[in-house]
Amino acid sequence: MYRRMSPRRHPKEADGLSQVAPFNIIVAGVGGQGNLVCSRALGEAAMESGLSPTIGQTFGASRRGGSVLTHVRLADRMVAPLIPRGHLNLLLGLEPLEGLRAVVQFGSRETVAVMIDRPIDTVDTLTGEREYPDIDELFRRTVRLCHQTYRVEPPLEKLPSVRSLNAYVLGIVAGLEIAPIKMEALEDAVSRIDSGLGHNIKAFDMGVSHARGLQPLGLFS
Amino acid sequence: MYEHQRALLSGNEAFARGAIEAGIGVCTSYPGTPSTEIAETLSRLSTETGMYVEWSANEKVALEVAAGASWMGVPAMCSMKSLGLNVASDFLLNLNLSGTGPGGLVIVVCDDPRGHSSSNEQDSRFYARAAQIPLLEPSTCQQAKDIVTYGLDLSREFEIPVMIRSTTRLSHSRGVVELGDASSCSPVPSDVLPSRLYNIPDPHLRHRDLLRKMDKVAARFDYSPFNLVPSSATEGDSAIIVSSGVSRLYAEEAIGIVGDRSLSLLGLVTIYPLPKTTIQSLLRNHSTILFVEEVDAFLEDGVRGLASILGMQARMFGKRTGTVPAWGEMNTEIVLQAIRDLIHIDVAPRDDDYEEERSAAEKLLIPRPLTFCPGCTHRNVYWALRKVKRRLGGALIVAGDIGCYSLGVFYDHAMDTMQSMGSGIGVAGGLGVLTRLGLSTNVVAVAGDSTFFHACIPGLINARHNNANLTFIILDNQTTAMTGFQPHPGTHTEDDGLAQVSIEEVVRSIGVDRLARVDGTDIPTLIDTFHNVVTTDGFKVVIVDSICQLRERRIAGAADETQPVIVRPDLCKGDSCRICVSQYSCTALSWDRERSKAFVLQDQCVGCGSCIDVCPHDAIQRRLTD
Repeated sequence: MYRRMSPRRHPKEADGLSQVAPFNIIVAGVGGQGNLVCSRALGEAAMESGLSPTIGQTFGASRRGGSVLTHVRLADRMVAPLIPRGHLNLLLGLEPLEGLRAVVQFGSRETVAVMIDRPIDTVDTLTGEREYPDIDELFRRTVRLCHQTYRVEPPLEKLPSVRSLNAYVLGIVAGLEIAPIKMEALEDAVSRIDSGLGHNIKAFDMGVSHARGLQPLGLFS
Repeated sequence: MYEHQRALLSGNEAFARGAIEAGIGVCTSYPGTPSTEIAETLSRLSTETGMYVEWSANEKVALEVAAGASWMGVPAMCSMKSLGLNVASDFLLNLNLSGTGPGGLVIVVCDDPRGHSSSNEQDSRFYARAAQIPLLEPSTCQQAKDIVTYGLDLSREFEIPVMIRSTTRLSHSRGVVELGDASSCSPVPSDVLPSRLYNIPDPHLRHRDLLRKMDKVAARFDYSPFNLVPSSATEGDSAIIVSSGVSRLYAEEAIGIVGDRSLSLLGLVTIYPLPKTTIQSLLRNHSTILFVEEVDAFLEDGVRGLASILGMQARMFGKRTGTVPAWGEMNTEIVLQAIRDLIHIDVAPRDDDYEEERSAAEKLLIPRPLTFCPGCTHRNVYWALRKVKRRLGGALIVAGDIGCYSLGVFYDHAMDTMQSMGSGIGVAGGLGVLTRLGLSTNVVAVAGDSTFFHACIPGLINARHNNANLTFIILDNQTTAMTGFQPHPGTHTEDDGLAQVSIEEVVRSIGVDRLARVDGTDIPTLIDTFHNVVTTDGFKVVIVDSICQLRERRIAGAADETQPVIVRPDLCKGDSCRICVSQYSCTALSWDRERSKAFVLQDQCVGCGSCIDVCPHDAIQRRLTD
């Protein structure tokens, strides 16, 4: 059901060394956005889809407003927890500045980027020490670095809560069919991380339906 | 416990699961990133498993408690971060000679290459060499689980502590783990203590005996199922990567990307003592060896040493030759670069256009620095200290410590020093005695509550005894906030099995010249108290009743009865002031660029009201009920 999984075989197949290039996803955001929960759901759904996920988490700063980056790698076995530079298949940017930061570090001409158009200030932009980068320029730069870029304006008023933005993004992933994961498995995983109020599933479903109308940005749009 | 036979576990959860499968009866720890989740997981499951899990006051005590269990026949595990082993090392370098008991004892140490969440970067593996104890370094989450049983069996057989070493990227990465059965044996302490649990009068003979044990362990390691040995013996001119721990995964990926069939891989898990026969055949079969490990050249030095003893030669590359950096984290690019340098493999042509785009985009990025949470009382303390420092014309040194409040170094450099746990009060004592040599600057030390119990008490007693002229500020928020709210001896507890130890009583019993207690949300009182106390000569302590807003929110939920805090635009002086956002900088305060006024981000604000006193124009207020 996915379009872009590219199971390129590495030449070396003996000695238990990696046989299939992993499908690499990064979830980029800011502490408090539910980044780890999001990647965990992706991992569990991948397991259900018959893959072996490796999730590399950087959460030392997750509680204190810093950048949080999670590497989700889908392969046939546990692989290195960090995606090599230039090997990113899918970027999920919960925040645009952090999304571009990840693309700059790990992106390639094959990367598909899904980026939420909802900037979150840094300490410096709050205090006025720095300006938050121009949002259109952020997206223009992402477009130039990626194969496809989806600019997603989240329906914040309609989402059950800001905290369910991560589930909404997973819905977009399922709707666009841009990862080698079965949609039902992703839905199941999202329902398991739900607080019991059904917020996440509702947000996920909204993501799935919004994905239908989404078109990637063109180089000149 | 776990519904499925396969689970997506982090390395730390895998260590915990391994402990359950191995039949560990006692687990002790002091929280520290990246090790915390091991004991945390076991603590959460303890009702189910019946395991005794203890957050000890510090790592040395934790190791001592675990040793006691092992001596009495109860399988024990002690987990800690890199720096924790520094604290526990004094006991470890005695326990190795005295021996562990029939219960066995595994020590899991999690290093933090790059120092993501640490005050330093260190490679703790040298402690295994210093203590002459076996060292295991698993590469995957599966191995992290399985290695615990293996290590415990080894410890029981040889009656020595066994060290398992992890690094951040294993501890905090998830992978699929095939689960085994939880151990069915429930350990009962023996009534008999093993004999001779001391090293005198002949510690050197104990040392000799330990070395003999280690020779046997080395022979055992040649048969370890954990080492990934190249499948077929290749001719003597081929190249091989020798790796340990999570670095093996980077090496595997790099080899896959390069796609050179002549390049093979040895993934060692039993890295001290080195398995001699394995290394012998490594040296016999390969003329070029590249070492890939985190952080120091530990494995590399071991193999180089053994090669010299065996009189065998190979071209060896690694940290000693500068082929890979001897600092920071390992990653696939580093391995790729080393391979390219060594065996001159064709590199994929550089995509110059793309690199140009990449640098152009990079210029757009701005950093996202860490800061205190909205409403954190630590910010108030540093705000107050900054005011006092200004009043004193800058004559104030703040010696800091380890915890969330370490972020004080980023808060207008409000904290001047930061080294190890408890060293704030220690060095402040050193600065404080300089008064008698003519030092006129006021000296302050800052430490949190968990840090106070961990390592501050000897420093405090030393400062008292030597009449150091200083003020010790204890930020008491009742929890180990930095690592996710583990309890400590001062935490209020409903658990009948635990007693609460009062920081204030400990401090009073040491005998301070002056003791003050302040509410951390009350900024004017904080400033006045600090100013009064700091400018009085003597040995003084201020306890700040602090609030971790994250923990409060977790306890209280979202419901907040207080009236929301707002900025009144008619009173805000705009760009000519900006004190609240530019200087106090609570992240719940933002700036409306169009109107040039401050405003409160209501979804971030915790409603503590501390900022009300920060505004000199009374523009920040609680909204009155309509």
